[in-house]
Amino acid sequence: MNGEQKAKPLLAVAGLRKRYTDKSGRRVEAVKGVDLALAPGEVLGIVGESGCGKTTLGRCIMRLMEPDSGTILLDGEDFTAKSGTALKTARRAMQMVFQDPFGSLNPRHKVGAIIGEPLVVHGIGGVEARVAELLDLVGLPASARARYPHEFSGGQRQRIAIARALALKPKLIIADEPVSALDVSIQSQIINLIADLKATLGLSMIFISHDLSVIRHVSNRVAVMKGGEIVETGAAEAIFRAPAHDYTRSLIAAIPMLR
Amino acid sequence: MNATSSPVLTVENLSLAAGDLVLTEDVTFSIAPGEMLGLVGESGCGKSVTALSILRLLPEPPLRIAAGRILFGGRDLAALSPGAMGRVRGGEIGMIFQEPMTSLNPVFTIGDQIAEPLIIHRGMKRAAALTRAAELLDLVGIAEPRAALARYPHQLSGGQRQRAMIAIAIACTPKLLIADEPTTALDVTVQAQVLGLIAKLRRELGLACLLITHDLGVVSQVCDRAMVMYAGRIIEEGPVKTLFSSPRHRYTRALVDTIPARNLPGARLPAIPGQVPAPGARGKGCAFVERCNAPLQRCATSMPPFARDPIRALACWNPVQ
Repeated sequence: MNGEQKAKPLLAVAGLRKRYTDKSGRRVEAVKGVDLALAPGEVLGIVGESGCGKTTLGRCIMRLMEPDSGTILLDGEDFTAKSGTALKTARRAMQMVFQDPFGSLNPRHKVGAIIGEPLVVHGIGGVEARVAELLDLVGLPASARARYPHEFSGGQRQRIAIARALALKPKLIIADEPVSALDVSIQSQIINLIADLKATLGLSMIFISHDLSVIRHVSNRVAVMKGGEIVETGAAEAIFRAPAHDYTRSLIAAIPMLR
Repeated sequence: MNATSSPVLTVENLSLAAGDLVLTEDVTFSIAPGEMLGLVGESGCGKSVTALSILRLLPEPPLRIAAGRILFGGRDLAALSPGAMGRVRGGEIGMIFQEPMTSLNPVFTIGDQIAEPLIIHRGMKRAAALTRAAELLDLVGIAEPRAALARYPHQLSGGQRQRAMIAIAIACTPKLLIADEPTTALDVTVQAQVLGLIAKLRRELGLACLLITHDLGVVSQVCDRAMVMYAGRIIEEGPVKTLFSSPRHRYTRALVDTIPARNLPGARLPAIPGQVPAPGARGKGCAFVERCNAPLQRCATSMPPFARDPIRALACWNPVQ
């Protein structure tokens, strides 16, 4: 990370909107004009309840879903305007980790092929060596490459998904509920891994979760979403110590805490 | 807990197996009238099969009760015939499951589904059962209960569906409610409402409740007493206030310590290394030995007994002092 980059945001989203038609034919305005910015090396936590639009927002930023309007500036370049090869190249800088470590890995591919696929797709050589490096980085044994996803536990599968996301050396990872499907004892292993990767690789991250205590733990800044809008945003500690919005207060009050 | 009253449910040395594979072993606990008992553990520890075995809802075969007794209302449920068990289930013991969408029948109205146990167990006529169903919907906090009777599950939100499930579970005023991850699929604000509802019903109806969850926070908020399960065995039990503030089993201690909310934001979490051993891969000794931060030599070779003092119970050779 260069010193001069610190000043300008890595990602700047302005006026992002997304409407779609749900299964029962209703028009849903999932994201209603969201603005956000992410500094290099920063973790932005996006928290909200189901249906608040947090997943749609993440997918629109990646352009896995096309936003209806709004702009996404990635490293100063207009990501929304790109198409074809330019989009593909720009996407190297931004990768995604999903919630379900069972559904997001192809069961018929070996782990080595899964982690190496982004390199193959982008025509980058040295796949073997890079896969070995990535397995080591996420704490999996070198022998993992020759095995299939079903041979791994949920936590290990999430490590595989993280290795795949890191293959292209992205600057930004969008992680959508990356630890929600994991047991408590495994969840903390993955949270630690994410923190280590952030520190060693200087990654920026958008961490989407419904779990406020996880969000508080991993984020520098937090955005609280409700009904497709960001209702409150600020430094993580400030939001949790002195929430300004009623909705944030009710969310925090509802967390069951250990007595 | 009122120690003088006789328990609603006593489970004694219950072991469950699938063929030769042992799933749970030597599970022993009891619930007093009106008590809320928590059962916590990670996936695969055996908490759900334990709940299902009490209701005799295990797919038998391949699963079976290999040993032990389940004493409820003077009978051993482990030895009851399917017909007799049918009268207990939904009548004397109510149950709620995690996923209200799949546990409600999509082709029947909410009213019919609440009326069903009243017609079967109480011999009520349909009209009377529906009137009672509306009262129950009101009790569980569903607005305009008469109108809600005619709705189908897909027309309700997740929280409303779980309320409807609770209405079905308590329709025949059971003595015991078994709730398996009742709020896991719900948002936190809805979870708080549903937990509040269960606590209210427990007060108003004197209901005993076995609450099964992976969420220590939930147990800590609503239960009187809790048990921690690991790899098929109960390894620690006690009042929630002391169990989580001063855990004695090394696993409970590690589990509490690893929760993000118990650590400084951004700090490295004291993670538990490794993973839960699968059934069949458990050794002769304590199943936690490979992940434990203070194992003794005998931990790997001999199973610590589940030793009980007047307040707490513990199965550990080298507990936290």
